[in-house]
Amino acid sequence: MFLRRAAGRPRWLADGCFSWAENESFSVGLFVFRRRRLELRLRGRGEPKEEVGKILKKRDVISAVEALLVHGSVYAPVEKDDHFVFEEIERASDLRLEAAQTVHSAKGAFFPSKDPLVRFDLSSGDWEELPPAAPRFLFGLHPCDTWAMKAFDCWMRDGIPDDRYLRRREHGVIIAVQCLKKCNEDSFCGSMGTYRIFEADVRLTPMNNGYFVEFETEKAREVEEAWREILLEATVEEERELEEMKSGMEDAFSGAEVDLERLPDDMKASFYAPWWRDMGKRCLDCGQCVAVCPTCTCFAMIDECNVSLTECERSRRWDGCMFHSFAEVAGPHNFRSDRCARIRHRMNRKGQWLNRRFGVPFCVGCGRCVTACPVGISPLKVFKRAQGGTADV
Amino acid sequence: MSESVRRAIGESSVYTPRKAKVESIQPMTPSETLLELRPSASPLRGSPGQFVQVTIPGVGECPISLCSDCRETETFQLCVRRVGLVTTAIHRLVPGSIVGIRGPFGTTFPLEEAEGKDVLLVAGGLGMAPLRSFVEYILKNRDRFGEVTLVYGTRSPKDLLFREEVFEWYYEKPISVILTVDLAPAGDWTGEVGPVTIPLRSLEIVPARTLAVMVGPPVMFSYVLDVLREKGLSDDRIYCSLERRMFCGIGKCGQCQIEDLLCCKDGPVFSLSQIADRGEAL
Repeated sequence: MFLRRAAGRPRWLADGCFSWAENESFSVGLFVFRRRRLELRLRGRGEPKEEVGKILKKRDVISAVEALLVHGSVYAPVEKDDHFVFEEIERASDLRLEAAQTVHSAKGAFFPSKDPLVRFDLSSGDWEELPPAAPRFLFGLHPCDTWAMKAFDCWMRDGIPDDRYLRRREHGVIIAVQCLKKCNEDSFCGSMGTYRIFEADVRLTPMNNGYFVEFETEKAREVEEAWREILLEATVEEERELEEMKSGMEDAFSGAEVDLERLPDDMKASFYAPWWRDMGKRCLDCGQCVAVCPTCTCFAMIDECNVSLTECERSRRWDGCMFHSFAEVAGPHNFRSDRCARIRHRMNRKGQWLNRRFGVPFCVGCGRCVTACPVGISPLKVFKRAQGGTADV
Repeated sequence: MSESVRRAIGESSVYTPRKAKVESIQPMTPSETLLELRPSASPLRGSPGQFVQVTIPGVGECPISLCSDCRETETFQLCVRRVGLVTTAIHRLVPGSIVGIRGPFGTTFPLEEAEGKDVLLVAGGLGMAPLRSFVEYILKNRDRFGEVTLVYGTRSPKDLLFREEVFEWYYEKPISVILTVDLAPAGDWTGEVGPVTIPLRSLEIVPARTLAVMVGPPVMFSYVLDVLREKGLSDDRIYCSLERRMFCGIGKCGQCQIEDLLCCKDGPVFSLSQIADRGEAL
């Protein structure tokens, strides 16, 4: 029965999402499997030739992007006013694959900040659906962005699916780059367990002189085809270097400060803790955290007419739970009228409710919100405080 | 596009409204109007408790609860209070106007759970609109329910919604009706005066075979809840329909989130045992 649904078994178990623990062991398992395969190869036991790894040399990156641009649009980090942002690129040379971290996440590719849904013709009273356009290749996502994509997928597929998101998601090919160290001093992906690429169609692992390339999915074939002339076969030395890079990476992200298993329960236990009030006093309601967050999914739907009032376009725009009007209804009644309640809502969405419901982290530890926040509010500090830490939030 | 995605999302976007024609529109009170809509393609087939998103082209969209039991009817009714842009535009509609609708969305009143039980309905103000669909359902299947009591409170006698029907129930007694108003002009009113909790408190119920449903403004819930609990009703026998700001209707826009629940998808009808430990809910 409908009404009982939420009370019973966690929804994500029924919907085929992974549990967190399974996820972890899945990734670790895959890692061990690759390692073993590589060991065998290094010992000369031989594997079929087509299994040999591919290398994208640094000097070939631009031609690789050019090859992709022939097949479709490319959404990648570019430089803008001394910052890096994800944008659809026009020239391959605009790409900044070495970008430490973009200000905004890549969510805008599948969930644009303004997404026109329907156009109303006010003279005839008729209306038409506007098709969702989306970039073809998402190039240069970091591991945290791939985890955020997974979180987005869980949210958008749950119940009645969001067809506009799914159409774009299905269309897009994700080319992710593994981080070997923290890309932003505010990030805490090591604590959130999101420093390894979760899912990508193509994985790039940085090496001294280029990238080790792994094609993972059916959708990657198009990229593989486009890059056939560009990629080189990895030498034994390069494969050894890859292994060193990967083990170095594990060290770079060690020292997790959050107990992810216990986090939802700890957040629940501290829901009425007095320190939320202190944080509510500091928060400015600016909503920058929401805009830069890769897992913030909330939106509003807005109808705008042209000046002559002959047409009206309905679009969905990013919205944020940090804004005063977010939980306001006619009456007037506001269900979260004070800042403390709003910041607590946002943090619990990341640390308690959605990660419990779907079994994947909804804060991926990218640290973008920490960098953007004018008063230095950080989910990491909140999670640590909820888990018994004493430092100020 | 993969087959599974194609199957999941269907042909037309869930965000695109379909057309419905205004069959009739009649004012009920100075601020509420009753709208009857006929969807152009196929009937709505919504159940009591659910809601639809109504679009007025050029103005906007807003969620409105179904106020008729339209599981088997070609048309459906909405009772709309004039409060904002869209609802004001709805009040200006005339028969034959075309509006957009999406839905029905959300959970239903406990139609099956209530069978074989006494049903206590508590309505405050506009809360009568969604509850009227449940009363219609009960009247259609009257033999499936035990004692049915409606306690309905409004600000003043002129604010009574579905006046003729309510008085018909009051006098014909297919269900017992208790009416109360906050303020009554002298001489006009022979019913109760005061909040719904007053007649509710003096009502005798058998907790073991009673199921209560309350719909009303947020401020009403906690007071009514106290009385229902005093009477010995357990939380899993109390249901309420909550109101939140919402855009999508399918649990995506996040506006209606009540802690870990989404009012549009997990609600709007919740059993109290679902929301009792969620401080933000009531």
